[in-house]
Amino acid sequence: MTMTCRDAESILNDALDAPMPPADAAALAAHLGTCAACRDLDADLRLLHEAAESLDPPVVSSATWTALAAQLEREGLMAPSANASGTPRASWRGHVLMAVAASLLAGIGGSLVWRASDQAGPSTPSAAVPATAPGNARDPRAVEAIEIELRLAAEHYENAITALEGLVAEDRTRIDPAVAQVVERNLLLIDRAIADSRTALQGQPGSLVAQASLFDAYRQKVSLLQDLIAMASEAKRTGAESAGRDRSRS
Amino acid sequence: MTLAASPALEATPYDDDRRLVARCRSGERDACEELYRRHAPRVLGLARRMVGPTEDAEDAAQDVFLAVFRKLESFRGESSLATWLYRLAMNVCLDRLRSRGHRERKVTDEFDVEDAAHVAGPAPVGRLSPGAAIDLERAIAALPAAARAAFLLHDVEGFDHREVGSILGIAEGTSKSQVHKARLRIRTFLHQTRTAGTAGATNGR
Repeated sequence: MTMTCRDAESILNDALDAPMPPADAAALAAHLGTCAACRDLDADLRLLHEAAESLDPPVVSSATWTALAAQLEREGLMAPSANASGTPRASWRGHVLMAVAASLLAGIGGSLVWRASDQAGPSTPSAAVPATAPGNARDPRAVEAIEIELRLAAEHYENAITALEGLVAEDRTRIDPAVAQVVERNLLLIDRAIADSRTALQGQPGSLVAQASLFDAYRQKVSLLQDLIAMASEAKRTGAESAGRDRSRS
Repeated sequence: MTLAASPALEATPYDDDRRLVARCRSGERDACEELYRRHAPRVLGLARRMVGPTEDAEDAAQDVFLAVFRKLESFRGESSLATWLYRLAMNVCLDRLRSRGHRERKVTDEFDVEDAAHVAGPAPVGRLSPGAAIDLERAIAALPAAARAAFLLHDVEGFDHREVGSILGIAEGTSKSQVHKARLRIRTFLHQTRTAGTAGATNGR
């Protein structure tokens, strides 16, 4: 029996969730061989599925944890902080975070087309992972070194962001206003997360949540600004191509 | 989910979750922070995409975790912590939508028949542009709440249809149907956005 487009649509959707039965696969292949619309649908569904899977989770403001922790303490659901006075608390995660930040910064320094990614972890130099047990990281000199590294990493990010913002400002008018509005809202959220994390780190320099939030926010801001630049370039290219076509027609 | 690594005994599902929850129940601060750090980005992502990118979403995420820590006693480890937590999260988000007075349909509602007729895009979306993630977020935001919830849980968060059904309190088949139609609606939205963008670039010269 010949497969209809409606059948193909259903099978293509199911195929994103589980392997196709061989009989369906053969019938679908035959249908796709003759139906351009379903081939387009196949390509689009795969593309959208991948895009959905790769959507970034948002930056979480450390203020949310601070407020939540305070409430949990008040309700007796969580033990009070042992280092509420702000004593720095360092651990292996802090070192790894710095190493990740450092490897990302190397990318920023080399090129402004670097794409922020959480996958930087595997390329982290093994030398950056402390050989000592987490408890040993309470050495005051180590803690001070971590704080200095974090400050330097933050400065590098801020410099890169300033440079990217300059590039974005030049081309902002090329971006679709509806998209620009969304981006503005996202940038506001990220800036608020950065401000919250900085405030939290002033009170608790060793807070892992605040450290992670700050660097997540920096990464997302860099990524968003790079996307904006790419979008502006794309709009510029599309406009130039359309103009070229119009000229050749006339 | 991470299974406990043991050379002698095979770990039962959700051991890791159960251990973490047990530590949280005893009020261990590091465990509470660990649970929060593991799930906060995804819960906030879900809240932003369900109730909109506003402070309401931040409040919703905080409400979710308050509910999680208050109700930890009721987590029995029969499903993953993520499934249990997302069920709470989705309830909080849908409550917020309802209390806002949005005329959202119930999660168990089906699309209208005519939805299926208008989903076929006449031309391919083509490659994703640099702003694709933003366009995709807009397309997701434009979905009806029921389809949005199923799509986010399945295609973005990676739950299978059985888990989505469990989280949303719907049948597995309903989850499939909602996700299926959500994908087609998103495709149509992106096609329209792309067409409008091309026209805008041409007109804006």
